Amino acid sequence: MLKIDHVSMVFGGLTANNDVCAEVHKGEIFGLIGPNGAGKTTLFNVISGFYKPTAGKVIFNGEEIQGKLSNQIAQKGIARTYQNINLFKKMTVLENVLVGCHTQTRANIFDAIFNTKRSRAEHEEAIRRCREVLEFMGIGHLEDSLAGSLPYGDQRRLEIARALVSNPKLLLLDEPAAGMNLTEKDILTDTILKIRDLGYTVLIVEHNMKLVMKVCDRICVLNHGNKLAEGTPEEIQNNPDVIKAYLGGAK
Amino acid sequence: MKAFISKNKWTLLLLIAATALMLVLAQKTYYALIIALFGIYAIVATSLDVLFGYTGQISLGHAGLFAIGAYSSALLTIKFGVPSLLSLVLGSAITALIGALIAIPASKLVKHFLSLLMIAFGQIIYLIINSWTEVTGGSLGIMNIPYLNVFGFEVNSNLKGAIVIWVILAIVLLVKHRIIRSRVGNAFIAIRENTVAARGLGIDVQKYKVLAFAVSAAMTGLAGGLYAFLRGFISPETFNGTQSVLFMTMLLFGGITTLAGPVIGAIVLLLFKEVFQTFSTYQGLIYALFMLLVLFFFPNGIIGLYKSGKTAVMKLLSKRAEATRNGGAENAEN
Ligand SMILES: Nc1ncnc2c1ncn2[C@@H]1O[C@H](COP(=O)(O)OP(=O)(O)OP(=O)(O)O)[C@@H](O)[C@H]1O
Ligand SMILES: [Mg+2]
Repeated sequence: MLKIDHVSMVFGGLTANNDVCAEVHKGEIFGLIGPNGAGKTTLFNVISGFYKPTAGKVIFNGEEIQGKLSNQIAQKGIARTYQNINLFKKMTVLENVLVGCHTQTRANIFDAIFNTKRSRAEHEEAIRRCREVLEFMGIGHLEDSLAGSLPYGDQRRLEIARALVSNPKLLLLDEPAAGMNLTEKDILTDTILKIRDLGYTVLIVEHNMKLVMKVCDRICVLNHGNKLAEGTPEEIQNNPDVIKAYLGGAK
Repeated sequence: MKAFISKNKWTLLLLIAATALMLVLAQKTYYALIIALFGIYAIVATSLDVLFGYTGQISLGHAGLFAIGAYSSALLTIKFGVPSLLSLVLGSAITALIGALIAIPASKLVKHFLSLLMIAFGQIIYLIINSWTEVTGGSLGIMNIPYLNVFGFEVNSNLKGAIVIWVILAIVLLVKHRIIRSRVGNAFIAIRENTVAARGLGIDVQKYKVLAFAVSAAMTGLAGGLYAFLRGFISPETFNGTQSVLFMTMLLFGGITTLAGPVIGAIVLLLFKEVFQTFSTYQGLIYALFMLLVLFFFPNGIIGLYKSGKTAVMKLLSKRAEATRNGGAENAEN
């Protein structure tokens, strides 16, 4: 489904990703882990079109997408969340998720002005779907709150809802559990598994090892921009290089 | 509908009172002219709200677009014999097109490039209408513009002008309302709130910025055409740079991202302008002071002030009601 083919990303003199290769299969949860500054978010930014890689290809369902604009990549079915929350703070929870429907809806300016039947039906359907997804993420009761006023954990859940509502072929989650308490993390673990069971493909960056080991089918480890290892959670946990990298860069 | 009415009881009452007052005043042709102008400027301020309030793009060159609407409508009718109503619509379309053509390169560049470009644009249009004498009449402008004719209804008095213009304003407000709550409006607001996230959700930011600009230009062009037909003559002085500042001040003073804000801002600033006409040399300075006043003391404009005032009164009333109720209960116990 997604193939990262010898991707390098260099900022000035700093190599954030160095010749990284990985492949995400349809229907799996693929973990991307590594110490701080390993280049995980950078790789996300390359995949979702925020950065154009210095070298290498990103192939999504057989099509090269590296260097395309992020809105084009979103249209192709890759949705993401952000490590540093990127919500529309002055919009309500429901409105945030409605923006997430953008790729799934068609209404143009003339539909809006003439309030056409087609666009009204589409709008109602979008609202229904938004409510369904908010309910699924456990924040249905907050639909009229302003996104910026929510506690941290709810903001993270809202970001996932906003990405999920577009029915993405691939969902990228960048540290979805950051800032959550233990109960919230457990709920999130279940939610991510449920998302996979619904048929979605997930690529997740996360520092919380308990969560990662529980949800991931396969894991790729990055260290200083290089790929260090790839395998099942058990293989990764017992890999001496990985253990060394984590202990060496203990945080 | 019922819920809407009861929720906005006071606002609606105010609206009805204002309409009645205006209808009475409009019996005098001078007042009718002022009221018609209120409507025209309210359309311009509304158009700026779509652009600035909702999409976050500043323009200090809307007088240029206003001029294009006015001159193209007038010229189409006078030089090409196009029926006036059609000229009005075409003038608006031409303004939208020119607006879009400016916005296309501007939207690709850094954030504030559009504002700078629009200042220059306003100046250039002002220069063109001043110096292209064969077509625009130069500093003398264009005279003897025929009356607007709306399907046989000739708008040959200020009173009729005021009525037609306020009906058109109502339509513009409806259009704005519909756009804002649509998928397109959501995209506008998303771009204003967080451009990166908007892009990440598949919104073509450039396209929507250009679209917002075209919508705003179409509305301002329409207002320009209405101005030309209402006054019967146009000259460059109506379209100078100070005018662009006035438009923006109207919006900020009234309050952004509301329906009534730009309308109220237009009325207040225009009244102010009429009253202090003698100080016309200092007009730019006065608008600047108005803007500072707004930014410092009520950043949400008059409408923001009205809303917070309303909430405060409601709170006070409900507290009092509660106090009486509690007092009543105590009395009963005794
Ligand atoms: N836009 C940029 N310009 C310059 N350097 C960058 C940029 N983005 C990331 N970097 C650098 O690239 C390296 C990798 O950063 P990245 O954010 O990808 O790490 P990460 O694995 O996500 O870390 P964390 O776990 O802390 O989120 C860091 O040294 C960072 O400073
Ligand atoms: Mg990161």
